[in-house]
Amino acid sequence: MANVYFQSLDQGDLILVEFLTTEGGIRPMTMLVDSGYCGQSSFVVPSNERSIFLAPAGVGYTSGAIIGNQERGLVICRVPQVVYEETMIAIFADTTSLSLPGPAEGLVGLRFLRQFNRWGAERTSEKTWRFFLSTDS
Amino acid sequence: MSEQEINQQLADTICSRFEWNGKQFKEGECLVLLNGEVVSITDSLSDALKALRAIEPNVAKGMVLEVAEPVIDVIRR
Repeated sequence: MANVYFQSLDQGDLILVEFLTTEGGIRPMTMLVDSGYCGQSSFVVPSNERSIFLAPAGVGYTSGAIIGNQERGLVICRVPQVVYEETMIAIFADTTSLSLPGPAEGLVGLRFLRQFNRWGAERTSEKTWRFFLSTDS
Repeated sequence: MSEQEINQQLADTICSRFEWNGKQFKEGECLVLLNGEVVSITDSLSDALKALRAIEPNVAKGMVLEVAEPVIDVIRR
């Protein structure tokens, strides 16, 4: 059981997720938390991130900030600080329309967040904000 | 039609009918599709990925389908 904490920006909460690559390596990606992103997929990543695309998962329709049929693929994601690893569905799409802040390269959605027992943002004693994922019950 | 298009057609059929070729499928099952056939049924995406890659090592081939009614993913950002 553990907690892991991440940076909160004024534009949103960022987390670091590791993805396994087809060559057996690790591709760390900074992802913006979007709890309003819901559906069967867990991530939106740039369409050119082919090294983490482990298998086709069909075409899925999206609405909202990205509209239309999107390529989906399986990815293996890790959050090593809480010993978490899972195979999930990611949307591989043009992310330029998302206006991602700072270092963010993609989105994590509600299906990913609900893998954890608790998640959210909290104010620290230094009056800054941080985002956390927790496997504590 | 490409292999992916054939698999997609099969995936669309299964997710709309929960049935194909006399076989019933349950929501949440993970299927491995290859060349327009269901070649494996598993309980998780992880097991389905392993099953697919044991049969077909090319990452561009085959498809993993999580059986569910057609859903629209909503991206709020």
